[in-house]
Amino acid sequence: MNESLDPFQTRLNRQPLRSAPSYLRRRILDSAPVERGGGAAARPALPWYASVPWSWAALGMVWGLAMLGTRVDHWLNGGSVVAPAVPAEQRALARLQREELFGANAAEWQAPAARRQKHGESAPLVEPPPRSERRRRPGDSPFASVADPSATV
Amino acid sequence: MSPTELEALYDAHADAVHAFVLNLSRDESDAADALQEVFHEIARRPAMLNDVRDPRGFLLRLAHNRAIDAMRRRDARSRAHEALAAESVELFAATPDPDEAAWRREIAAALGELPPDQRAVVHLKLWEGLTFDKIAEVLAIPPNTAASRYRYGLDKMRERLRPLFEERQ
Repeated sequence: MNESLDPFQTRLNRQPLRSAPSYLRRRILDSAPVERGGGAAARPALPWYASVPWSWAALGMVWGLAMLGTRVDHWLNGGSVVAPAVPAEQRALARLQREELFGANAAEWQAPAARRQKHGESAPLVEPPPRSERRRRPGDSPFASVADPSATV
Repeated sequence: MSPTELEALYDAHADAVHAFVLNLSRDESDAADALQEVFHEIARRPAMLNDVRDPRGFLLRLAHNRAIDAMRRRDARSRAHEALAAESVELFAATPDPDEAAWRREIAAALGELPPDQRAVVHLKLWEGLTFDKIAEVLAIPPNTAASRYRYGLDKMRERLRPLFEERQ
């Protein structure tokens, strides 16, 4: 890139540009946010962690006030919270519903065996033994026939 | 940054920044606003200049961004106003010589006819004396783009001002 100037460019280059209006200097400099006589405008910003202890202190104070309020409320209420009394009819109704619910659950639980008997289905041919009777014997492995070819006939 | 430091910075670079923004925006109030925004930005965050080797280039870059923003805002408002301003802006210093004054008016008008991107490069090359690499930094464009914009812009100006230039030779 040839950056030298030919006569035309030199002729243009010699034309002096206008200065910035003088009134702008005062206006801009007077309103600039600079530090004047120890002011805080241009004070360097504090690091981000500088405000952390104060944040935690404020949060702790709020938490302490909440705890204090709870204690005072507890003390004013005689130290215990009393549940509102439930009328006897509601309690009887709740008991009745509970019994119906558990009764229905019990009937549902026994339904498969009852259904098999009702439809004449037989019980499974091989009932698995109870878990307590399942003992592991030596060599009793599902891979025994693979490990010992003589076991297969 | 202290007031004294800001004043020194202003006195050293404000004229160049103002002329550049005025040539780019062709609007006195936009130029004044951009100049104020640039120096207030520096006053607010003086650390911006900490690693800057060439404060003039840095300020011109800030000013260019401000001028582009102002031009976009104004573009949305009025194009007719811009056309009028392009004719009437006083870019060069006043002179008592009427021939010289006419020559300067013609140069200003020829600059006003260039697209803003070519005008910016021509201004930085001719009146700031920046290299194409430096112009590329200021305008955030590749150096080859800066060179080609300069060539196109200068060719248009040469064509426009040829009769007057030859007459004055």
